[in-house]
Amino acid sequence: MALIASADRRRFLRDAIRVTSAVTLGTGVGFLAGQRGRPQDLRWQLDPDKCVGCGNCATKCVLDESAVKAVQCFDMCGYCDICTGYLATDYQQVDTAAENQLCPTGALVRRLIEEQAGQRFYEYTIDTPLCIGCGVCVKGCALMNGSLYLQVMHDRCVNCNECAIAVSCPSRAFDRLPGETPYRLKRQALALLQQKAAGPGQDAARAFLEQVYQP
Amino acid sequence: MAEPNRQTAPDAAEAVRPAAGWVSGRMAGAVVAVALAVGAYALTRLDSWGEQATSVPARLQLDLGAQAQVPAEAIGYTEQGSLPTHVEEPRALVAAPDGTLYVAGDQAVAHVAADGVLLATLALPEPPRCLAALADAAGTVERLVVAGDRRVVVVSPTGAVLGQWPELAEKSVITALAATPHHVVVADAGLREVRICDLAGTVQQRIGTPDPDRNMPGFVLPSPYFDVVCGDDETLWVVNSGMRRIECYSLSGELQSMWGEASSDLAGFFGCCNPAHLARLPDGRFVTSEKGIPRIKVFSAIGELETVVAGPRELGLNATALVDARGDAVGRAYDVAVRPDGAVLVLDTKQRRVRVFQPRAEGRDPT
Repeated sequence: MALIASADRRRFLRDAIRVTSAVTLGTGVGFLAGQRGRPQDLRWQLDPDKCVGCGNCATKCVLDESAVKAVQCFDMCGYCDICTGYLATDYQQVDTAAENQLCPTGALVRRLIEEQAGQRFYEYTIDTPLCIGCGVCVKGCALMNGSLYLQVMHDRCVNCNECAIAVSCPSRAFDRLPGETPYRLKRQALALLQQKAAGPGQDAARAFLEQVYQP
Repeated sequence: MAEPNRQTAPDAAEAVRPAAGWVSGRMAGAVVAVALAVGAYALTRLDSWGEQATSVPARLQLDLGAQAQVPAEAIGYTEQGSLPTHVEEPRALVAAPDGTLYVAGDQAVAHVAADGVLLATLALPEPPRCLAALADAAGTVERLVVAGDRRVVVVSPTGAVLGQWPELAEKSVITALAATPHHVVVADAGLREVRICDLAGTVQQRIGTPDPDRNMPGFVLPSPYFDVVCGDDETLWVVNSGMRRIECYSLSGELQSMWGEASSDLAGFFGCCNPAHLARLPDGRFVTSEKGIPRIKVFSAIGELETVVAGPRELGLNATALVDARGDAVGRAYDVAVRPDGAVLVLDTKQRRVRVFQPRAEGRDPT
């Protein structure tokens, strides 16, 4: 009887070691496999060349104030006096009066930068906290130059698993971009930036280019 | 006389109690009526066109309905038909004095007869941006001048390359060419100047240098639309689109006159930079084509609006289609040309057709 008991103990220990080794090996392999197959950090973004400016970005975002905001590509902007992104279509005067502005929240800011022989040139910037992402300025600007467009701002976006705006987007403009380059320029803006970055002394343009998604 | 049996005969004053079946019939009728009312309400509120699908308030929408509407009485032309362009990506259009057309696109120029038949395809060394036809006194086209991204080439009507101009400057963007019997006029949106060249490309005169002392700001071009046509009397008509006006220059570069005003009204030019294209009728009147809200209009020789050739509706665009922010739809404009018989030709790049508009017989009253 003592022999049998001793044999059982050895077998038990051997089996225990085998099981422990198998579990350890499986866990290790699984961990390594998991590390390799771990999904990238992806962020929601919209493709401005597909965006129709429907207005859903303003109303569908789960945040009270949408994470989508208008941005300006200054290289595409004409610095015009009569900006169709700034002025209401039925404007009475070319000035900054609220009734003459297209933006419902006054988030597009106009600043005189130059006057030459009676022709005035203005810079248009976005007052981001005021912008609700409705895209009215985007549509107005698209009538002429299309330098204004929408982007998901990642200092605000909570990166929902299922983005409520993406679900309702009528032109399927939303997709996920790598976390390290979560912004997508308009195709024309990207081409201009790449052209500029290729020139000498354009470190700022090159640094900016590294932060944007380049398909 | 025996009294009536009050237990069996109903009292005249007593209301007739309806049968139980009649009550349920009335209930069913009421339910059906309510259902019909709800159905009718739902039907009238049904969002058949998806206009309320986004639930976006009207104040967050851009409504161009008013600007897109051109009163029917203001339109003085009717579309007579259309011709094929015979190129996949048409970019520019010229009408020859003999009534045929030259359409630049892809990497060629298609010579198209007045009935749409392809007469010839002239191959080019690079994709064209714009072109001009040089005709002799009899109206026969002797050569074509075609501008690409890097060069201007001169080709014969049979397609032989007769000459190439020097390579363009890096910032050059040639948007229009015009021809006199002895000169080729080049509109360069990149350099914001008009150059008057000889047929070999040698620059003889530059127009557009800003001169604040003479109150000349130069050409203001927020977008690459910069057209030029030649007048009959050694003059050039240049579109200063950022100032929404047409300027007349002598061949020596002197500004002689101008007309045009910025306005979203029919009589003015809409937005930051219009008109996008310009053509001249045989009698000296002007045909303008605007982008943003596509409107093709005829102005008198002194710049008064005479009539409308086509508005967005006539061009097949409704107010919703105008407000399309997608990259490919931004700043759409229709090139225009004029046939010797007065027909206005409109290059529809989307349909790849040249649409032919003829004047209506009745009056032209844009007001």
